[in-house]
Amino acid sequence: MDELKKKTKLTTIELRLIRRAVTFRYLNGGINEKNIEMASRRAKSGHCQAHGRKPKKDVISPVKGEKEKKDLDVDESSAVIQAFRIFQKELDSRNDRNERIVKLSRDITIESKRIIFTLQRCAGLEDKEVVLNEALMKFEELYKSKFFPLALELDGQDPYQYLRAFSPGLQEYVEALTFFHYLLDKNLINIERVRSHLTFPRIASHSFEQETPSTVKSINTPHTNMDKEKYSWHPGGSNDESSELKSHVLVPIPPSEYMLGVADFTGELMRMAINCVGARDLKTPSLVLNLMRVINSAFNNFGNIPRELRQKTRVLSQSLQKVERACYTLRVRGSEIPTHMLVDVFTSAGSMSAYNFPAEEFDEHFD
Amino acid sequence: MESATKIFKDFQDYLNADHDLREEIRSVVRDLEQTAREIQIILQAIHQPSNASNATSLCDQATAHFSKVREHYSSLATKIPEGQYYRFSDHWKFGTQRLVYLSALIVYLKEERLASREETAETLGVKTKREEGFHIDLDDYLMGILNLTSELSRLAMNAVTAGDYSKPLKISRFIGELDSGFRLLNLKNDHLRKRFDGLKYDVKRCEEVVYDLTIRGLVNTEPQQKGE
Repeated sequence: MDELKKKTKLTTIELRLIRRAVTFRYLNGGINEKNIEMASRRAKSGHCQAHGRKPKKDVISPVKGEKEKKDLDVDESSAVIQAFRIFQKELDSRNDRNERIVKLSRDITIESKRIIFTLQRCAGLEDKEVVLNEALMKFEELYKSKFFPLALELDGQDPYQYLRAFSPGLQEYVEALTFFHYLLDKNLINIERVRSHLTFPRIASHSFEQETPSTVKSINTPHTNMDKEKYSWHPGGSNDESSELKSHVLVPIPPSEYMLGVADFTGELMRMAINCVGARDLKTPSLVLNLMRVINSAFNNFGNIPRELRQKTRVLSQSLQKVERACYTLRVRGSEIPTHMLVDVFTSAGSMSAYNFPAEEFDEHFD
Repeated sequence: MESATKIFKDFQDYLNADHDLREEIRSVVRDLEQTAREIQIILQAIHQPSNASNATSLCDQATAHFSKVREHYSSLATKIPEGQYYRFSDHWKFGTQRLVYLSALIVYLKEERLASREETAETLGVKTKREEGFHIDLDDYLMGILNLTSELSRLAMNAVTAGDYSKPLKISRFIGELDSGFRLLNLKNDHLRKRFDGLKYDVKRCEEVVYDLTIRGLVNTEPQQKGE
């Protein structure tokens, strides 16, 4: 290399480029003087980079050219081509819609997770209203910016065709909403009320303006507003009559999706129960336990269930056992350990496999 | 907790109803697929050299079976609640794809052209558009057509064996046309795309047959008929 360099007065970079050209079989006969001269001319005029790649391009270009040619040369008069033009449009519009729905669903998932985190901060607070109010505002925003567009996308379509696209978001939302309502009235929200939240009047922008401030305001005035209806976004939506239906768009919730959301919600219950102990709230865990037992036994009683739900049933049983352990420890050792230390007992219990739970299954609860 | 109990009871009812309905659908689809197999057995005979000339009578035999297909589809259509086609469509997807292929094969054998989606739907006794009710999903139609190309590329070879040298040329041109049609579609990375990726082998197989015939001077038509 050094010898060549001296001989030809080329820079190292130029030499390297020539070598590359040789490797790409651009120059026959290896590094001899004729080739070097040729290549150095190329290198100096700045073309070598391109030439170095050219062999590759040569392989691609005929194929590409042929394809382009084919697209252009398509015989538009042929019946086959005309039919496929129609199919093209149909497929494109379906794929585009699917893509938009996936995007909305992902946004809903993210926002729902945030709401859940917000709600978890309720644990141990005397006055939950601030947190609930914050969550409510997030819900409002979610309806306005995500669910309403989603409902419009699904309007006039077979929702089951796109279910796979929006089911993750929907489940996460159901999880958030059931959690919210649980904190509100210690009960499980039924599917009809979830549906009523996701039913929107067709002309939405107008009613959004009116609805939002009044609801937030009413929630700020204490106690009387714990009335359920005030928390639902659209009070009239729950009892749809057929005539009313046409003026509404909705995001449909298949019962199985709702139930999967409820299954996820029990994971949140478990977390809340553990957190409550940390916040010296010793009553909540046993309350939570009641509901979890009801849900657990119901899930175990289901027959003909889809596979997805069966998996969640297993996770649910584990969460339940964990809370049961927590309540047990609380009873047995509660008197001897100060409450602020108790939470350490539970958190460490979670990370150790002392309760015979494989570690990876715990991760499922927390993701 | 009263309300929770009701929620779970309702859900169990829903699950049971769903399960029963799926059972019913399955039994209809089983019959549908059985009929499809019967048709396929009839049409497989086209590959036999001895049957090369009486393809039309085979087609007529096969066409007769489609009345049963239409019956199955109409009974299937009554079972599907409105607007829930795609909730259950996995059950009959494969059956439909196969029937699309079979009916398109008949149309090709008779008239040497592509069966349109509309006429395929009519042969099967279903609709074309989702809004009109029980329909052919576009994906299923296209899958059926792709299945047709493999079958035709096979037929091109067997036609040569049977001494018919003009058929491969026509088939090659037809598949070439379908290929350029499919190239117009922007397919996602799904099952249709995977199946489409196999189309080039069908095209290749036909072209090879045409090449073999041409190079040996067994074709007396002009060479530019070579399709691709």
